[in-house]
Amino acid sequence: MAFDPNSEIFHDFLQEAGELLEGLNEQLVDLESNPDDSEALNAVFRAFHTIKGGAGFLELSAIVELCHRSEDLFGKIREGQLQLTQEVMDPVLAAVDELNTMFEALQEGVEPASAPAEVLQQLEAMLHGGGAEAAPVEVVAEPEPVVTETVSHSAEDGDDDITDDEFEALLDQLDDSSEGDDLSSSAGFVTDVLLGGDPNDDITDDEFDLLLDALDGEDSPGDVPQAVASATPSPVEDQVEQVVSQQAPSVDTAVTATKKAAVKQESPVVPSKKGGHASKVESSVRVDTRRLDDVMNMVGELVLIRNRFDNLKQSISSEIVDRTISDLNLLTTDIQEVVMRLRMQPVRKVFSRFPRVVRDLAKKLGRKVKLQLVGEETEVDKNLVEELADPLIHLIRNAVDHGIETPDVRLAHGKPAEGTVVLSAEQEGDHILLTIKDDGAGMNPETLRHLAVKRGMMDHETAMQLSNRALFSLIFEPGFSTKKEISDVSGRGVGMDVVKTHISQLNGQVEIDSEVGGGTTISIQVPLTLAIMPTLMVLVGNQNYAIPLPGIMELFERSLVEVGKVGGREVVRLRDRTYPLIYASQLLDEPRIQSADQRVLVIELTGHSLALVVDQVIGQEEVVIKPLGSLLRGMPGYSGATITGDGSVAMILDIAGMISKKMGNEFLAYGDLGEAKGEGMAA
Amino acid sequence: MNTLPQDDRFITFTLNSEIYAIEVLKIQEVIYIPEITRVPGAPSFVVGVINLRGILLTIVDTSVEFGLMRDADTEYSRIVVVSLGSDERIGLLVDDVSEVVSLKMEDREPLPMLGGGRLSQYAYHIIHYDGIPVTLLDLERIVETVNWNSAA
Repeated sequence: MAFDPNSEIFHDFLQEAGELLEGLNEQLVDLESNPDDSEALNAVFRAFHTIKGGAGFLELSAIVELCHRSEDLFGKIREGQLQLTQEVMDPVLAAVDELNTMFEALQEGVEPASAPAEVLQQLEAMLHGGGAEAAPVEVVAEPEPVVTETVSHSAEDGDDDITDDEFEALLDQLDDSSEGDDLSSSAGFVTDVLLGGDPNDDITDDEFDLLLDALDGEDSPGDVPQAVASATPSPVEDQVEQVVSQQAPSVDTAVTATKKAAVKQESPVVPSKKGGHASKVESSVRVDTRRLDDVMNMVGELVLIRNRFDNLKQSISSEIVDRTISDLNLLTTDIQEVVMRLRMQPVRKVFSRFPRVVRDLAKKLGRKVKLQLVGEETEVDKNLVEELADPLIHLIRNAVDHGIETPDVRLAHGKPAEGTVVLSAEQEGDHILLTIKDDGAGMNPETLRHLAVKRGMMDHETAMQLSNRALFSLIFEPGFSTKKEISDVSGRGVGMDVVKTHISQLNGQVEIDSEVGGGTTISIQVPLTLAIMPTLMVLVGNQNYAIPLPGIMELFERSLVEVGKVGGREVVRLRDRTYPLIYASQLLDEPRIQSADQRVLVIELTGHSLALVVDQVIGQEEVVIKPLGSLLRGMPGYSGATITGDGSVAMILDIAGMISKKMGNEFLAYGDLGEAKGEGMAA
Repeated sequence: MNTLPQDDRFITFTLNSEIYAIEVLKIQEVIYIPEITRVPGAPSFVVGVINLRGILLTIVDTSVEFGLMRDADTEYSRIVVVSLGSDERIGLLVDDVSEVVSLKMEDREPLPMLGGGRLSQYAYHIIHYDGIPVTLLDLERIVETVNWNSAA
């Protein structure tokens, strides 16, 4: 069976995709009654996209197939090529039901079989407009033994991506062993793929088993894992190769056999052999992460009480109290640090899945790509490690798909045929810096400028004013994609905005730099931990709000800042840069006031630079992020809430999210005037 | 919803001069109204957030959902902390908490068809008690009314 229900990745997928699937039903129903809700439409589209991505990684072809079609369908609807009628919705809902069934199977540890032919057909029919043209029956889904001929028919229909892929995967395996492995030049890469304790390896192994069983017609669940783990061609692989060359004059025979086996074989997976790791006495203990979370929560409470004492200190003036409180301070900081360390994990945990991703993708796209991993030992909070996986996968796929050129193009440009993607992690103070750097084609700012106008995101004038950096950041906006054709890898213009949203929710920032012909570098900055955050506490209206400290560059007295006007909007010029002036009161539905206490914060965020007016700055405070109830969890504009030193609640602002929500593209068009047109600006 | 409540005891309270009831078993506590932190941009029925012994509690005013305007707070106003199953709680702003009563489930009637408001999303039955109609509230679905995560 081509998946390992015990692997961590599999569980992550089950959980994440499961949640999305749960949401889908409701979103779809909402959408049906409200077909013009583009937000909901995007959400549905993305949900299918994400599930498909995860399933593709785990090679759950039945799910990929179903999601792929649904996604295509919603892609068409999104582009206005198709009306979202009930006629369209019915097959989609049927598909979602089918997905649910598949997930139930997965939870039992059984690989789901392909969706019933009718469901796929109906989706297909909608996709090609009008339900009349009946697509040929999807033979693969039939439980009876399949005749080779029929399969080759369906192979011509063009809706057999999966069978092709599967076959390709098989060919890849053979290539690797028999041709002495064209990737072996990148030593780090190969070791990671072949020797890493990565559960992915099991997937390929299992696939081998399956194939062998199918071809030999015997049911030996042989222990092949070690075979692949060696870089030299192993007997097992030779055998596969032999069998394939003998028995498969046409591709279809092998594929049919595999498929038949896949349909028939319903017994649970053979438990994969785990290496004997308990051999020597270890100086560590395994602790349930929930216990760590509990400890972390309690430390959070402790920090809050510490903060409260700090507040009290002002009203009780006694030296001994002061000293005791500062002792408490030191100790709390130490405990906090130690507990944070307990939860740290090396980023290798995420990084380890990428070589495989890059490899498969490069093969599929006919590129030669070497992935270099740097700083895998860097440690970050456990939750953060998990949260980073999705955005990183996306960015890496993007680098391979959009960044690295095909070998002949590269050679023509005087570059080595093999492209390089470097993924690195390093700790910088209280945050971690991740960079994804490719030496591919890079992005042309002029193309982006042109596209921005063409997509109606801004007018020509505004576009001309944007700096290169602002132009590059455009790719993080919804619906903005620089690649014309649609591949099933990336390039639908969905994704980069998801990446940005995701990182912003982690209180992180994304930056992008690119050079035509030289490649693109994307840097992500995220805090080391998600639980405790340094913030600036400010007053807006009559309430306190916490603004995450990373991102706040400078602080000015309001009265010292001169305000100019551009296009009816207020701007300020500070340190040779011009920023739009935004009032926090406006973002937070408070009346705008004038007071001597007002301060202007210079904030630099991905794609946004702005000067934010707050009514008063209260001071710096380390806050403990408290989970919000489900009514408010995930609400745009906030990264959470905290309990302040005096016991009241303060919302933690996500400035970028708040601005996108309140002002959307209007602000974007207006943001970052500084570098390009700064000189002529009134200040 | 369709299952009969295990316990027939209900807490009744007033909201816009009408009587509502929630099963006793679902009420964690009744508290005075503390300082509430507003959450700009939240759905209109969310009044804000409070700190309930170190845990954040979302406070809702359901009258907005029922299409009514709630009267100003009085000395009798309270927050009823309702448990919504698995670890989830919300605080419901009410005008006055009346008493604990035993209601005979056999006597309940389906909610009469009403125009306006979204009461029918949060209540399925009424029951007459001392000749006065009492609406049985079921707030579990209130969480489903918002879905922020659709974008992520």
